[in-house]
Amino acid sequence: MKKEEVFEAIGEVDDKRLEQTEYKTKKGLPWPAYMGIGIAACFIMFVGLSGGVFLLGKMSRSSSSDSYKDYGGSLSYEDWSSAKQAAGDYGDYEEMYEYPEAEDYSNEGASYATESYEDYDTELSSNGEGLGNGGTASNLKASDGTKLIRTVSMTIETQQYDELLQQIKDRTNEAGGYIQSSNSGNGYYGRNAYVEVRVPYDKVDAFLENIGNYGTVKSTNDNTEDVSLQYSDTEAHIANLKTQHERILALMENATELEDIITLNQELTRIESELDSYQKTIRNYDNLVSYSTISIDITETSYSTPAVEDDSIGSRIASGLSDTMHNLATLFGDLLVWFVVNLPIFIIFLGIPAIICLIIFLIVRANIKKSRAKKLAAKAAKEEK
Amino acid sequence: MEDRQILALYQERDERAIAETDSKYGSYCYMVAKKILDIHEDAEECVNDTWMRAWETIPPQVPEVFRIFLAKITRNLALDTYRANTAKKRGNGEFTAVLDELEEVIAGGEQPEEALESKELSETIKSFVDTLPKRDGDIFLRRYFYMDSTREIAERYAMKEANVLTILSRTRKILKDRLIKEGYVL
Repeated sequence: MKKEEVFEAIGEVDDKRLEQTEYKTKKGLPWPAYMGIGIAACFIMFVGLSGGVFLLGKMSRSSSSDSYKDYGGSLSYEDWSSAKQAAGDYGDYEEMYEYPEAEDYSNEGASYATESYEDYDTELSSNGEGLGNGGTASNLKASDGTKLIRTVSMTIETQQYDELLQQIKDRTNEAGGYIQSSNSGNGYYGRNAYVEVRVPYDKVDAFLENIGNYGTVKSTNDNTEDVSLQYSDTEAHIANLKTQHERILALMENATELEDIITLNQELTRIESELDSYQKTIRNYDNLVSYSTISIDITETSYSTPAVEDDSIGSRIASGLSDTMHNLATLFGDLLVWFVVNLPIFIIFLGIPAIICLIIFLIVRANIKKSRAKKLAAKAAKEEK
Repeated sequence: MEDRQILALYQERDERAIAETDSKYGSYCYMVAKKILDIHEDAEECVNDTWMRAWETIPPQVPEVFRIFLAKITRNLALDTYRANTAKKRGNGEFTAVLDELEEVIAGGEQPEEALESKELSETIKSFVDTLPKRDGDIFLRRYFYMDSTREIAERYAMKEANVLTILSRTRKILKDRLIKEGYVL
């Protein structure tokens, strides 16, 4: 048999089998490339995850006012107290509704109680004439039998941080309101503040007018709650309890038995306790109705998102895109800073293990090659024999 | 044009079939012929003969894979030309190397007195290739059917040339054992 015959015979292999040999195996990359890709993938995942968390954190920071609670700083106390003083009527208001002193009650007994509640009743009917502007608002509402509690919350991004804060203080003073609480601090992206202002009900709109001139109003939530029903219920309870109170006092005057006096006294105590509770509720309602609460969350930015002026798709897209581009620019800038700052950590936790793996790989590979060479040499020697 | 359409032209005895085949598989068949024949003109002629052989055999034959069918014809024709030229000169270096390697398969033993039918040998080779692991079979066929150099095979299957040589050597040994077992080589 000739070698050409074998060659010819190979030419008779099935077409399908021969066709299979025409598919190329994809060329593999050299192993350092795989290692590099692995490390790069780990790094990208790491950076991506960190970036995601970072961005989410940033977004939640800009949309939630709660985070400002962490910033311990506050507007100077002087500012706060001066504002409060400017709205000095508020102090009168609190004093006026001060509950009668406990010692008076214990000394003078039932007769005092009657007197004090009568006094209260008188004051309640005038419903805080000493309230100044707030009192007027409350009276207006009371006159048509409607009790409205208005609460406004806003989020503002501003490049004129100081001007905006000053504006809030000025407007509060003008309106005869006061700053109930304020927190401010220096965040990662700039200063921020959370201010809670109490302003007479009828001055709220004037207070909020053109506030957007000092920054971008990111969100506004204006909520009005009608508490007329609860208010009148509470008043009815108070009236009822007072009637009971008077009856018990009358009975006590005629009581001769010690046991009866004790029982009546216990009942009197219960009624007075309930009255106290309802009166507190009424005072609270009066406060909330007279003075609306405005919460303003202020963030200082180097960049101010254009406000969505109308509800059109174009306007919303423009505003959203502008916001996203700014966030992206900030993100990449911050990522770069983060990367450079953390470079030593990468070198320690990624670079060194990679070098160790490389050394181990090279040693193992060299050993395998050696043992292969030995085997081949032994085989060749055997064949020669 | 797709193979199916070219084959339809052969069936209709339309001479455009040859032009289409030449246009689509001319360089492919030339490459097969050139691996066996050293001279460009010989390889060209071999390719032209391939078209004539295809024209004569289709119909009645219906090729399973048209490209492989043509490659087989070219290969056989080139081998014939090689044989005719052998007295005068040697063939292409790659082909000579392939034949030398195949000589290993039949070397070392005497030939049987009665030569077995070449058809039986073809069946043995087919079955031998089928028993090989897929990759080893592919490498064997790339080397001894297409006459690819070991370097080309190494590139095609993304492996080292030394590995290709080892696999070919091992495969030839297995083939030799098989041929001895079946009585082609004593």
